[in-house]
Amino acid sequence: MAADIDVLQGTLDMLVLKTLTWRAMHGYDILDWLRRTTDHALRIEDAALYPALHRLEARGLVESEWGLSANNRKARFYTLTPAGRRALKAEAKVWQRYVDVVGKVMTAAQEDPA
Amino acid sequence: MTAARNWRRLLRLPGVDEVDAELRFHLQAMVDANVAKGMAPGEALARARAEFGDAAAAAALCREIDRQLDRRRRIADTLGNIARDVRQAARALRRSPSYTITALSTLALGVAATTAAFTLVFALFLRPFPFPAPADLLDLNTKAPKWNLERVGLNYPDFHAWRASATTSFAGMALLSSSTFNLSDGTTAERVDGAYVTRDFPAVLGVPLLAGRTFSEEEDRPNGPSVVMISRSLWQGHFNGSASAIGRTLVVHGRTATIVGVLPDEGAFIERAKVYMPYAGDPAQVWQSYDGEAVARLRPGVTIEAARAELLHAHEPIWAARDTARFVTPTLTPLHEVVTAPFAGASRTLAVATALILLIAVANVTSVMLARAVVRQRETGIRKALGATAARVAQQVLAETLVLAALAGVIGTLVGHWSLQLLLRALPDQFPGWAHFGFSMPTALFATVLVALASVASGIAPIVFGRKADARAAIGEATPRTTLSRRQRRLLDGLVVFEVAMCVVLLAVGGVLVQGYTRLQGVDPGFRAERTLAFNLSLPAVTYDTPVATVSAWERLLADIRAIPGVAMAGAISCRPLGCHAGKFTDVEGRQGVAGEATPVTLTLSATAASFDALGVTLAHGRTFRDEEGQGGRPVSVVVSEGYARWAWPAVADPTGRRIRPAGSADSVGWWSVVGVARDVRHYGLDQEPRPTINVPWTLAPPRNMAVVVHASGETDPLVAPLRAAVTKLDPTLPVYQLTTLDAALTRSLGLVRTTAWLLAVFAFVALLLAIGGLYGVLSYTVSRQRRDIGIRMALGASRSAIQRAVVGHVVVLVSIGVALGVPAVLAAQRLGARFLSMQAAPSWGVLLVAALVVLVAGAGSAFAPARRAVRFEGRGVLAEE
Repeated sequence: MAADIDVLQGTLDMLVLKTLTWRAMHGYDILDWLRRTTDHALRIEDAALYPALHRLEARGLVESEWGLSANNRKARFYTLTPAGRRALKAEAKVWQRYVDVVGKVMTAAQEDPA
Repeated sequence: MTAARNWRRLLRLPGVDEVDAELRFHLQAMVDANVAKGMAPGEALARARAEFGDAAAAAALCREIDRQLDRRRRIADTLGNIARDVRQAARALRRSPSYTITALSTLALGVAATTAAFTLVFALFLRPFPFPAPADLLDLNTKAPKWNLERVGLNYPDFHAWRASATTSFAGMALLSSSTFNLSDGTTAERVDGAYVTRDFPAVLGVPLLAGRTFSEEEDRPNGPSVVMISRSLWQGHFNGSASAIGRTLVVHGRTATIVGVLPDEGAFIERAKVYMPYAGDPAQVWQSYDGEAVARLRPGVTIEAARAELLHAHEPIWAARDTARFVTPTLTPLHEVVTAPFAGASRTLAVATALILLIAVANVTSVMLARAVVRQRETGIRKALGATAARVAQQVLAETLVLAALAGVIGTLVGHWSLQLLLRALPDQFPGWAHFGFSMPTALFATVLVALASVASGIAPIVFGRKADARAAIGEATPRTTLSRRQRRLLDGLVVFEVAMCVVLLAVGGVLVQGYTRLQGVDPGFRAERTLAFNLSLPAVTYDTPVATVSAWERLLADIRAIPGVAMAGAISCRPLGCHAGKFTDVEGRQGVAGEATPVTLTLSATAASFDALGVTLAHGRTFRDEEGQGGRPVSVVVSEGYARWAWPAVADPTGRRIRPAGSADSVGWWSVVGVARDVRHYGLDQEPRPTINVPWTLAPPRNMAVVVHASGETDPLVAPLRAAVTKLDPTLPVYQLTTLDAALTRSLGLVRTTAWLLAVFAFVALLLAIGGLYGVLSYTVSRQRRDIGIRMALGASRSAIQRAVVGHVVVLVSIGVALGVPAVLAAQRLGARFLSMQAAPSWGVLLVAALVVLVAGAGSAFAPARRAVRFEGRGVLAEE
């Protein structure tokens, strides 16, 4: 298992937004969901998630509210705002193009100049 | 967003840290998961901590992000509220355009008048001189109470002694004497303003030389080398601002002078000075002429009192040696005070008048706003019922007045600025050259503060009354109570009374000033101003170096001028009326001076015999002298003024044959015989008392500098070209200067008086318009609000005329109260402000009566339209409505 893909800042933002499309989640849930979905292939430091979340809130892409977790503890839940939804759509498109283009290059067969 | 968070944000309490709580929750969840996997609690916590990463750094980062977000949100909230209020206010104002236009134009007018007056006052009195440490600059002069003189002037020996000994308090002193100079390049001639200055002049003022240097010590001595400093504008105009101008020459008064330095135009503290020549004073000079004025600079931190004490001490030896009777005492005055003194009264009057206008405008807007607030009581009540706080409602009212005031501020400031520029253009040469009346930061700031104050002031009443509108009244009452309560009506009435009273004050003050001006116009100047031209000519000493040459030049010129068709009479005089001053003292034969008696400085004129006729000066007794009655040792005949005769021979009806001579003459000097007594001439202006005057035949000491006076048989304009031609024929290098008709000179001398009077009259008219506008507005409003009452009364049988009488009667009562309060206010203002304002005379009962009548008639007039509208309501219709 290649459990060692470092996640870059911009990518983490996108992944968080994507995660929040399902439902409102607190930080731990978000990481948990991401880890399970990727079979723990991504390496995301727990501490790094929170500045990302707060930054997304500051940009108006997510909103937060205090609520109760599954085991009745006070937790801060994040929801996607309409602006967040739009940002995710745009970033996903760019990401897809990036993957396609890079993929094309990496999979191209060498042409014989002769 | 919870209320708690809002509170915490508001109070900025440290409290429970959200970021900590959030991170702690995460850590706890990790521990729980580890425990669920079967770890011991201690190990579970350790593992979670290790996996979590740098919690402290993450928390710090989160807090920083949150803080920024918070700040942004707070600003956005405030801006959003303001924007919403402003939008709402703009909508409300658009909905009632007639109200908006009235309030807007009223406020704009007030702001316009006030900012214009402020700009004037600021430029003249508040903006510091364009010199370093301007507060340390003093005017140095002398006074002679016994000669009835506030400002005598200075002579060089006194100045020289002071400058040498009073060095503790003074950093420097400079003596100067304004003059005009003939400037010529050989073919053309030009007359420019300038001054003789001592070499320390630039240093004392603190103006840096743009090129070259100031005079050296040798140059600032009698018979020193001929050198000159020029102003920046002359430098630009004649030498294109080239550095090579230094060392070049100019012909000044027919003598070649080398340019040694260039002074900036601010140096033109002596108005419009373009040429500076060395004062070249002689400390040993015997003949003492008080023709200088001086600027002194204090050392930093020295008080004017200390400087005065030192100056008086320095003057002691002069009293002991030359002036044992202590006629002349040196004086020190802040320079700014001296230079601005002529404008002080007028500017203050304008400032006070404009402040009154603004007050009336604010009162006006207040009453209209109040009326609106009453109409909107229902709206306000509903808003409160829906949860708006009193503060929020007040904020909305303020937003409305603020929008109004801001618009009025912009319009008013622009209008005020433009009208001031127009006014200044209409009054060239009335104000000192260093005063700049442009738009400045302080002016803008003043206008802004003014607008803010005005909007708050006109918003207070509606806010106070809005508070009373409660939800119960608005929703509970089937018919909203939109008539005025007793208290509200009394407030509205009070505002009207206030406006009327202020209006009476302005009308009366304006009336007094206009009356004063027209009275001045009616004053007999003592000379004939109509169809009379005068110009000055200065014969350079280089060419006209003997009395014979001088006399012959003047005679040739006058003969040529008399030959010009259209010239009825022509003469010459050393100082024409409204032109200049030359004072001397005289002794009267057989008259013993009473100890301590004020000796008048006598205006001493050298005149040609023909000048009496040319000026239209008539004689009360005797005859005029003949030109030769002063020449070549013959007995001298003089003509004295009535004022002089009254002082010299109070008991004598016809003093012809009496004798006088210059004060302090040696016994060998012959007496001058009085051959005639001339009527008093208002030599210094219509608003100035004439001085005792003597006219001496010009041949006694032929002046090189004289005013030629020409009386035309017809129009004066066609004479200008031939007059110039006559001068050119005499000497093409001689410039004609101060060419004017005496009519124009008289008008100009009254410029400031006239301007103040007419401005006040305009302001009074504006105040009247505002007061009537306010009256009309309030009246229309109350009448329309009282439709129900009026309808009921008419249904009950009140006649139309009775209703009309009631409406007009109410107005007449209000206006009468206003007038009754305004008249004593005028009298009090006059008593308090006779010196402060330029209102010298108390208003006559005539002026007060006219002011009161105008306001009464205008007020009653403004009531007619609303009164007629009142009775147009059909009683039935109004009742059926409800």
